[in-house]
Amino acid sequence: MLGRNKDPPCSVALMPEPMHLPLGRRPGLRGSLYHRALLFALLGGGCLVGAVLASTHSAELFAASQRDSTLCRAIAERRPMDSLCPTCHGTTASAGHAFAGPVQTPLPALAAREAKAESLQPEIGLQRHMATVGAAFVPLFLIFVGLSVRSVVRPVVRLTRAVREAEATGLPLQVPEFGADEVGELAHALSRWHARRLESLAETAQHRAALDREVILHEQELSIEQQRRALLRRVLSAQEEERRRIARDLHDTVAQDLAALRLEIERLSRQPMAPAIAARLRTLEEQTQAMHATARRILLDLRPLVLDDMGFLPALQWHLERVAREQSIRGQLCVDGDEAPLDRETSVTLFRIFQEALQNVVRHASADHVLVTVAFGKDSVALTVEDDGVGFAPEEPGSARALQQHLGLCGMRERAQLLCGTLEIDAKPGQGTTIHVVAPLSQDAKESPS
Amino acid sequence: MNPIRVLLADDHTVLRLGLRAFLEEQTSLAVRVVGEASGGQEAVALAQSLHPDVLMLDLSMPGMGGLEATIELRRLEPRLRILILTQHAEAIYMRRLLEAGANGYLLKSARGDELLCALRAVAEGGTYMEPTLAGQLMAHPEHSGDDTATSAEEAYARLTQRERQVLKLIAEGMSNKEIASALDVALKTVMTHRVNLMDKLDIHNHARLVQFSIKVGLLPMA
Ligand SMILES: Nc1ncnc2c1ncn2[C@@H]1O[C@H](COP(=O)(O)OP(=O)(O)OP(=O)(O)O)[C@@H](O)[C@H]1O
Ligand SMILES: [Mg+2]
Repeated sequence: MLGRNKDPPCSVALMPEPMHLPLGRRPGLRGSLYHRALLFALLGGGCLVGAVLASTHSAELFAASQRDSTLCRAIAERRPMDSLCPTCHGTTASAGHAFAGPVQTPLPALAAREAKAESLQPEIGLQRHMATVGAAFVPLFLIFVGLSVRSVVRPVVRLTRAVREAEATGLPLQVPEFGADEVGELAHALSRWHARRLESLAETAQHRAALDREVILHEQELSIEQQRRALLRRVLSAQEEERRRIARDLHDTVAQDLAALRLEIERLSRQPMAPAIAARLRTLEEQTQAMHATARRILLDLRPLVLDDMGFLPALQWHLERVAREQSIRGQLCVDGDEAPLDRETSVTLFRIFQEALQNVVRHASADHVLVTVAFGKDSVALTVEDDGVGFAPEEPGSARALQQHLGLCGMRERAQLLCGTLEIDAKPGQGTTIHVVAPLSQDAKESPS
Repeated sequence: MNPIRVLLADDHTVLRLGLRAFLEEQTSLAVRVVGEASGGQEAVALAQSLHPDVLMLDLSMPGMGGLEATIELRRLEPRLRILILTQHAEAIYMRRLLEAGANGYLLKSARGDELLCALRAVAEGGTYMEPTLAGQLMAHPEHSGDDTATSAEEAYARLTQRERQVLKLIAEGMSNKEIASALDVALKTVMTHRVNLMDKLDIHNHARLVQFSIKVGLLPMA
């Protein structure tokens, strides 16, 4: 019977305690006769599935049976059961059963139960009969019954003990020798079962360990990536902050000084003086003017003050115009949707991506036009930079070659990712290039011009 | 003629002193510097107590900057003339300041005669715009909201046949590349039409292009 089980069992719920039901609880059940039955139950899909293995009712032997409720729960929870089986103790009292059945799940269970006085109907009948036969037969009969009880209980108790020991130690089940009867069969089946269970336990443990290692590796990778991102974000924001400060400083000091110096030279040159000196002063003034222009170019390259003073769109417009003017490209800025305020990180990052994209257009595209679109959605903002230049065949992002020589596109993508956004490159040779960035609008974005 | 009474506001002391000396030395315009401020707050206070004709105001100053001071003074001293004197050579700043109520915008890199010219213009009730920046402003005028139906028709009349075709396809939601292959022309051609027509219509927004196309009957009503 048990040999039919294909899958090695993984767990055994054991209920070896003999149950002593108070006989007085049920009217009509009196006497001290024990009825014994072995109950082997296999758990399948949450309900008890099995066949009757041994029964005091021979008609029920090997009949398919399904029992859920109490026993099933008990097995699932792995605790000894001490309750009445509704089928046996409800309407019709019947015999105890032993169940065994095909195992369809890796989690079968075995229940061994010594029931007492539950299916006492035959014994009660017998008792009545005995009373009529005569008191002299009673002791004899009792001795006979007692012996037969022992012959069944003993092996079960031993088997139970062995199973318990195996459970506790984790060692293979040492089956006592029982002979070739049903209990002996059962014991062998149990020991095969147990051996297979041990194997499968070991296998599971191996799998678990491998899985754990993988999870740990994966987590380490993840956290390295997160750390890299966090570091990059900090480096970039520190860099931006420094650039902003230097640009401000240049603007407020050097550039102002040069403007003051120029004014001073001009004042001086209004005094009556020798023509030669006047000419020298004019040169000096022009040089100062040029230095002033240079200082301003440097500070604007460092960080456009418009971005901080006026916000993202004016800065975009300003930069586009500046580049278009210098490079003789026609640029156009389109704004779609309801303009939403961008937080500082988003506006600086998008601006830098835009700068890089525009620089690529200037350096590589030979474009006549560049169309810049900023589209505000409900919770995202999209920046598109489209040129009508020569286009190119984009390499795999992050490929060795791409990383070696060309940092522009990678940097743009990195920055977009720092915003939890995306960057797409739509380019083909001869068909222009489009860079498309989408960044989420943060919930509490506030435009904060300084 | 009474001299123009000027209040100078700039946090850069050397520049402020140089400016004062320059204004007092020159002879072509009657100017009297009545006070100096080194920040926006001080400028607002002095403008209220000294009642100068013209405030020459720097933009970037610690604390209250020139833009805020302009907005504040427009409210408090409606008759005060404000001439911005700044290093910010970007048209966008000039636009913002003029919108906020400044009367003139001049760069610190300007020569002395330009400075006097600006001062005179502003004092006489005119507006002075830095010439190079004014040019940029003209090139990219701020669109002034939805135009009336008649001007939409007029603007539409200025478009070429090809531009109208392109406009229709843009309004229908096609990308530039799609339009190029639909019309079987180069991408550059489409871009030229696109930029031209948007400039002609002075519409730089997709939704408004669609509205416009519906208004002139290029697109059916949605
Ligand atoms: N708008 C464009 N039009 C045509 N080709 C482009 C465009 N943008 C990028 N490319 C091509 O893609 C390559 C990679 O661009 P990327 O910005 O990553 O590097 P780069 O500009 O060469 O160098 P840098 O690191 O200084 O930016 C460029 O060398 C160029 O061939
Ligand atoms: Mg590049």
